[in-house]
Amino acid sequence: MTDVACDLCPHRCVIPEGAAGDCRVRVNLGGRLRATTYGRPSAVHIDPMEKKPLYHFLPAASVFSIGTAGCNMHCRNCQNWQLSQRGAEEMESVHRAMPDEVVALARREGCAGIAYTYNDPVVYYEYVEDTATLARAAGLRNVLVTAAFINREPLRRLCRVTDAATVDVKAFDDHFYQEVCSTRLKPVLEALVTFREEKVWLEVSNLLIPSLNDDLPQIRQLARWVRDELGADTPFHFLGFRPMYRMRNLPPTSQDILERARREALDVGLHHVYIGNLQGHEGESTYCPRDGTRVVRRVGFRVVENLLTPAGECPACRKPIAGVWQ
Amino acid sequence: MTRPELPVASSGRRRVLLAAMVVGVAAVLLPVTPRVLEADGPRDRGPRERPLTAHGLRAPHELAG
Repeated sequence: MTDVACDLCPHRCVIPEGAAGDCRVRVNLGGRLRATTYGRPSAVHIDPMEKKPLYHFLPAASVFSIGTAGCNMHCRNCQNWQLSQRGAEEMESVHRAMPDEVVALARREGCAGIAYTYNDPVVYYEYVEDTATLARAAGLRNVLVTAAFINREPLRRLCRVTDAATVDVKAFDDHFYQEVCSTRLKPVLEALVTFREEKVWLEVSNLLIPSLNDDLPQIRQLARWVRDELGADTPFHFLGFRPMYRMRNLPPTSQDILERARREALDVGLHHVYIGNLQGHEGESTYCPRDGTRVVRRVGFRVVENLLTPAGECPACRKPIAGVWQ
Repeated sequence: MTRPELPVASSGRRRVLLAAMVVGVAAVLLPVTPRVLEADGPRDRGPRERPLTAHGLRAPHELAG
């Protein structure tokens, strides 16, 4: 019997023969580590880029989105727990789609890129890497939607074929990470810095859960860290919580706290702070940080007006707005 | 004395009686006949895989991200 050590994420699971790691999908078969979800997505859809959320990356583009079973986080409020908290053999149905098939279909559907999303792409790393390599060669962009609980070396390697990432920071509180997500905060912060160093377009989101991570001092700390370590131009999304999975005992996030959080982050000096899950709110749109002109107006995931110049500048004052606009 | 022809009605009654007996026997036997529910053998315990096509895309609007 040969144990296998998985070095992909900070859990660093040592997996006995015949067993799976913490993620449920990376297994030791005959003394070799196998990714059981390779080529087997369980959720496939064409989404707007804004749904990821990515607001400063190819606005209004369609992105071919895939997800598999499993996750290396175990958030008690997971919105996609039907996928993420199951092993490959527990799924009712999966697709068979090798990397070349995913790329061919994404191209045929006219998508600008492929998003690795729904569950955390960290746990289907090899599938992501192979698909992303082919996608890039075919002229498609690659997007990661992740909680970024991954070791530095594998992340650096994945960054070579990644164009954009949106990272969900669960809280600026290691205790929260341990209690609610069964992970730690520090590796996530390191991964964010790695994304920045590797010049991957980066946006950050933070789901505010009433009474658990929505106090303003903590929000201010997180905003300051993003400003200092990632830059004031990093788009930041506050998302509203909905009772879900194993956290049905708390109410949805109020509009008031989302607005106060946004105000706090803007006051700290972040240039682009958004509110998600509140359709029609002014916090869904992009404003020029110099003169306040609304340069991109959104309603939900829909871009209803884009006034940016072809070079991505404010049409009034010509200030470049950070982003990958085409 | 000529032999009377068998009345048609009599012949019909026999056929009906015979049919009723067959139905009765079948009704008695069928419930105890073992029925094969899994003609194709044991069911696959893993997920059923489908080829990926544009028409087969799931619409996970309820999924975040």
